[in-house]
Parts: sequence; C-alpha cells; structure tokens
Amino acid sequence: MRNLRRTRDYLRMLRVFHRDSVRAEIAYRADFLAGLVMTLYWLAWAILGVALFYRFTDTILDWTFPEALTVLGMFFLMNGLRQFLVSPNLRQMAEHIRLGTLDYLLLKPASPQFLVSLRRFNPVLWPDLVLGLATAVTGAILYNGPPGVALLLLFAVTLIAAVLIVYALGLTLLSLLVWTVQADGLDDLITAVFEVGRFPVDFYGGFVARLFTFVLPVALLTTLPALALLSRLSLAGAGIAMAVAVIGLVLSSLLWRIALRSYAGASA
Amino acid sequence: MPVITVRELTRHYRVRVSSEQRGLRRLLRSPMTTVPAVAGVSFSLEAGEIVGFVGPNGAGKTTVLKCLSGVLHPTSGTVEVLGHTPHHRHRDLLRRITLVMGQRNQLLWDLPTWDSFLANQAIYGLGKAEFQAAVEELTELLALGPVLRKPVRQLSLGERARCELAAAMLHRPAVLFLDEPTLGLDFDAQDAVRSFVRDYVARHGATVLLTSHYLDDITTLASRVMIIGSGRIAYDGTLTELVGVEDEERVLTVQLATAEPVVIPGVDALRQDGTTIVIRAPRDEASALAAHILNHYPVRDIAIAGPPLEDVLRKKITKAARS
Amino acid sequence: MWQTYRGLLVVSWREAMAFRAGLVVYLLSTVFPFVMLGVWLTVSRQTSPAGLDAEYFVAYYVVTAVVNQLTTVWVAYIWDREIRLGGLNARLLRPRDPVHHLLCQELCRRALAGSVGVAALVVLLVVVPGFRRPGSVAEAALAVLAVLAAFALKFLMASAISMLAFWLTQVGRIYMLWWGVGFFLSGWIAPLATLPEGLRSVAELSPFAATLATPVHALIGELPAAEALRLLGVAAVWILIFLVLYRVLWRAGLRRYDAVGS
Repeated sequence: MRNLRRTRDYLRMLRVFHRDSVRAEIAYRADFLAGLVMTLYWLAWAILGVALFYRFTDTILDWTFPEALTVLGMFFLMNGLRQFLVSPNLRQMAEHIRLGTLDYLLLKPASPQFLVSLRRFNPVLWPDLVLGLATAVTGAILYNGPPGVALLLLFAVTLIAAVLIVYALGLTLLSLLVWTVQADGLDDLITAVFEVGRFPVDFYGGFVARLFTFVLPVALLTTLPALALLSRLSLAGAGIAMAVAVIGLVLSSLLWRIALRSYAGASA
Repeated sequence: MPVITVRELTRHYRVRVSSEQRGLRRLLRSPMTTVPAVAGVSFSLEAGEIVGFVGPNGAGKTTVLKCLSGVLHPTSGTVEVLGHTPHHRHRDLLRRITLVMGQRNQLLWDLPTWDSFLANQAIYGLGKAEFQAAVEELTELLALGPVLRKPVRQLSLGERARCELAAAMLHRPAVLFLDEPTLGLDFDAQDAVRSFVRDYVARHGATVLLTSHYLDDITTLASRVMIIGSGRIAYDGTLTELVGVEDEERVLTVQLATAEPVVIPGVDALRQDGTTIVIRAPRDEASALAAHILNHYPVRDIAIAGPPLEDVLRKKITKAARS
Repeated sequence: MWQTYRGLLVVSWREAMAFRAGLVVYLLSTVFPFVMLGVWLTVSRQTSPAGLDAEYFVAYYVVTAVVNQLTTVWVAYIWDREIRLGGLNARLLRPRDPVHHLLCQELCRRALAGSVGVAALVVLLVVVPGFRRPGSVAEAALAVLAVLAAFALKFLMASAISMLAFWLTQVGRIYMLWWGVGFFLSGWIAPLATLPEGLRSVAELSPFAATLATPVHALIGELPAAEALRLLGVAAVWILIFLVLYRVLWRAGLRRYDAVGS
C-alpha cells in the first residue's frame, strides 16, 4: 500500500518534470513543428542511405531491405531516447556539480538517483521516438505482414530491456561525472557508440559484431528488438536481453551510490 | 528537548594536492591529503531559537550546516536534528528542514518561479490545500505577487533571492539552515529577507541557524551567537553578553568653537580633523573628561557614545576566531 | 595584416591547446565513416558495388575520416551564437573584422585535430605498401590544394549561411538542412560512384563534392591531374560565390544589427 503511494508520487513527479521540460524547451509551437520537420528530413536521408546498399544486392547477410529498415527504425527510437533522456540530464548534472547545487537534491525527500536521472527531458525528440517506432513496425510489416500478439509481446520485452539499458548507460555516465566533472566528452563518446546501432550488427562482421553485442551492448538496443519484431528472435534471446538490462541497472545503481558516497564523503 | 544536538562533530575533507595536470591524469596521479574543516564542535539549539553563526571564510560554517542538513556525512561525532540522524536522509526529517545557500540557484532558470513551486510540490508530495496555503502565506510575507509568473532569468537579484527563499520554504520546514541568505543583495532586499525570517519564526516557532557576513543580519535576528574559527566554536552565548564584554569604552566627539585646531594635553585622541576631535576613554572616566573639556576649552558640541555595535562584533569575532 | 594574423594565430593556437582534451574525445568519436566502411566491406564480399573493391572502400573511408578532421568547421555555431546573443558587440569594438580571429581559431583547431589523422595516414602509407596514394608528385600537390579548398569552402559556406542569423533565429536548423543534402552529395555517406548516375553528375557540380569527395579521391590517387584540375575549378567557382555571398550578407546584416541595436 505504501509502496503503491510512493510509486504514484514518483509518477506525479515524472509528469511535472516532463511538463517543466516542455515549457523550458519549446517556447513556441513552431519550434516543435520545426523539430518534427527535421526528424522527417533526417529519417528520409537515413532510409536513402540504407537503400544505397540495396542498389547492388537484394540481401546483405540474409538481411533484406525491410529488415534493415526495421533496425534503422529502432536506431532512431533508441538514439532519440538517448538525446531525450541521457543528454539533458547529463548537462543538468554537470551544472549541478559546477555550481554546487547537487546539495539541494540531497535535501529533497525523494531518491537522489531519480532526481538526477529523470529530472530533465528534451521533448523536441518525441517525433524521433514515434517515427522511429513507426519505421521499425513498417519494416516488419513489409517483411512478413502485420505482427501477431505473441510477437508484439516478445518485442515489448526486448524494447523494455533496451530502454532500461539506455537508462543504465545514462546513470553510469552521471555517476562518472561526479569524478570527471566534464559532460561534453562523455556525451560525445556515447553518441559515437550509439552510431553503430544504425545497421544490423552482423553487417560489421565477426570481431566488431561481438564487441558491440557483448562489451558495448548496442546490438541489444537496435538489432535485437528488430529481430523480435521480425519474428527472428527466440524466447531465450529476449530473456538474455532482459537479464543484461537488469544486471546493467543493478550495476549502474551501485556505481551511482558509490559516486554519491564519494560526493558526500561517507568514505572519508 | 533540544531540536538540534551536535556532539564532537568533526569533518575532514580529502583533497587533491593541486597540480598542473587536468582531467583523468590529475585524478590518477595527484596525491590526496586530509584537511580538517570542522574539529570537535558541540552545541544544541532549542525550538524557536534563532542563532547567528559567524566566523571568517573557511572557518567551517557551511560544513557544519551541510552536516546538519544531511548533505555531508560527519567524519566523526554525532548530529541529531528533530530526533533523526541527518545523513540517513530519512524522508520525515527532509520534509521538515530546509537549507538555503545564498546565490546558489535552485530555481529552474528558463521558467517562472511558479513552475519551480509545482516541481517542489510534487517532490515534497504536498496536497493541494497545503500547497495553496503555503503559497498564499509566502506570497504575502515576501511580497511575491506578479514576480512568480516571470521567468527566473528576468528577475532582479533581490526578486530572485525572495523567490529562492519561497521555493525552499514551500513545505513549511520547522528547522531552517540559512547560509549567507543575504549575500550580494542590496539593502532593501536584505531587509526583506530578514523580516521574512523574523515573521516566519514568529508564526511557526521554527528553529533557525543562520550564517552571514552582514552583521546586521545577526544583530537584527539572532539573540544568540556562535563564533567559529578554524573549525572550533570560540564563543557561544547571547549577543548582549558578547557586546557587553567590549562595552567598557566610550567615545567622545568634541567640536571646538575655535578657528584653529587646539591640542588637548593628556587625552588619548583617536583622531583629529581640524576642530573635531574624537577621544577614547574608559566608561567610568568619560563624563569627568567631558566636564573637564567643557570647562577648559571653547566647545560648540560634545557627544558621548558607545562604540558602534558592528565594530564591537567585528573586533570580537576576529579575536575569538583567531584564538 | 600579417602582424595581426601572427598575433591571432598565437592566441588561437593556445586556445586550441587548452581545449586539447576535448579534441581527443572528439577524435575518438569519429565513428561514422568506419561504420559505413564495415557495411561496404560486407557488401563487397557478396558483390562488387559499382565496380569498387574492398581495397578502395578501406582507402576511401580512412581518408574520408582524415579529411573530415582537417576540414570540419565549427564557425557556424560561433557566428550564430555571437550574432543572436549579442557577443558580436564586443568583437565589433575591435579594429579588425571578427572573421580574422574566427578563421585563425578554426585553422588552429584543425591543425591540432587533423595532425592525429595525418600522422596516422602517413604511418599507413609507409607500413602498408598497397594503400592507395596519389600517382605522382603533381597529383599529390593537387591533393593538398584540394584539402585547402575544401576547408576554405566549408568555412565560407558556414559563414554565409550563418549571416542569416541577423534576420532569423533558426539558422542552426537551416544549416542542418543544407548539410542533410550535403552529406549525400559530398560523398560522406558513400562514394559518389555508388549514387545513381544522374545524381553523381549533380553532386560533382554542387559545392559539396569539393568539400570531401574531391580531396579524398585526389589523396587516394583516383583523380588524374586533368580531372583534378577540372574539379578544383568547380571548387574555385563555389569559393568565389560563397565569399561574395558572405560579404554581401555581412554588410547588410551589420546595417540591420545597428538599426535594431541588439
């Protein structure tokens, strides 16, 4: 019962924080429309970029154009989520550390982790999220018709895992920021790593593909949910994705705690 | 039962010996050293007290406040606020205290203060009625009115300070930690902050620990003063006692009715500007000296006064903090 | 003028050096050409796209990464910020046109960021004898010229478009729209040979090919001297066009800036 109330409190905070972000980022409706146009524009170019490969062959390592399109859609969704969630909170955290206002967060009767990782959003990225998902689904429909319920459930599991992994990556960077203080570098690096997710991870071949599956789990963010949507993923695959997400979440929370302790000087 | 109890509070900082290197390399290479910021501080505050906490920069005031509000963990010693250990950060405690640091902004920069209020309402889980009542009261006490709807970045420094204070008080805390709340403000804004604190305490019986470099803040608000120097409490007592100790002197300002400056032999003149002479004398001898001067010299005006409170305090604090 | 430039270059070099940690991260994040290379290598194992082989793709994208480091300009963001937020006021107080300082800053940043790529390229050329390279000294000289032209063109393009900030607030987005086309036509996404035939000739006449494809092809020995001269001619025309455009817009913009008094 108490937990339920706490959950409701946190959801309410989330809603207020999102509204703040909308008010701060989007001064005019025209801003939002311009953002939408830009998203469509980049999405069109990205699709043309993939189409370029398929001018010369019908399948690349068994991936047809609609399948690659599904991965590209997932890339837009996840890369959008990174810019929607990770970048703004990273910038905010850098400000907190620079100005010494992190102290204020520790005074609030709410989880500091929540307050640093889910405080700011960039709502201009909403079109990326929606259009990315739409592109992924379109690719899947072009490939083998409308997906069934079981397939969508499996996809939902991998999607949730992917979202959790993005959150865990973001929290890891926030924690590192307590020691490194500079946000720009961390943001540039994670942007670069995400770029790999644009295409099915198999495309890069043996070593690189394994690197981005197991060490830097970009494949779990885009290729794996796409496979689920294309009904090419086993239940075990989805299970592994979820397991990685949970482990990532636990480890990043742990790292955050260590960072916070070092900030508050519990160990000194 | 005291609201705040501090026993033998000690807090060390581990700092890197500064070096030219930057970023990661500095992190890895430069050696660490321990700096004591607070060394064995003990005191307690009763409910409804306003205590001024003074001392030079780097004396440890802010560190003590951060330990009291749970932002920092003490290195050793115990701290208790409203029956809680602050650094456990229990929700019940956090909802009853506040910390305001002058010029450290916590309002959302691009939005009106009102939006920061709504964010705090959500974070503190304030009900509609509770929130409404708090907003009304704060709007009245701090004369906020239309200011609440203006984006924070467009506010003047004084307006912003008032809004900051209001946002930090929405949950109507019982214990206030105010760290230099008037820093950098003009006189009117300083005054607004002071009268707010006084009125709030009068209404809610809150307990206040206040640091400031503007001694006016201390003299108008606090009846009790603690002086901290080099991480230790050097004085803890009433303001009157603190001033009284130094109040053994009088200052005579004599304006001579002559055209030429006159030297009065045998007196300890602080300074002499033409025909105005300022003389320091022990309290018991001041009136005799005044009578002597009136009888022997052409005097246009003579005034006897205690030294300004500010001067006494300043001298006292500097002395205590050094000892 | 030479005195001014020497002073500005010294200061700009120090600024760039102070920011070198940021540049290292920026270098590390040049991932896109290698992502594209990975895919083309996979495709080229199955077929020979547009008659190109794996060796070509490796050379093309490695050199693309290096040329990109040597020619990426940030000046668009700086102009936009200075004009919209009023930082230009302080710059206008100084006796020299602010463009000289911005140019020096860009040159020093590029020299520093590009040096890593250039060093890597030299090592590659020495260690891997089969790595593609210009066929003669003359071609090599033309390649260097093509890199300089690419830098100049990008700098002037960015400056000309940024001047719109005197009238508009969304210049950042316009610049991105411009480069959305540019990424394709410059050869950043893929070698121009992989584009449909008609598009390729458009690309070669557009200002974009000169910003990347021309210097890259010159550096990997894919451009005979005559062809290189022709493409450099195209680059020269565009440089002139954007130079004039930028100066005209700058003058008009300043008049407006004075009038608005921002």
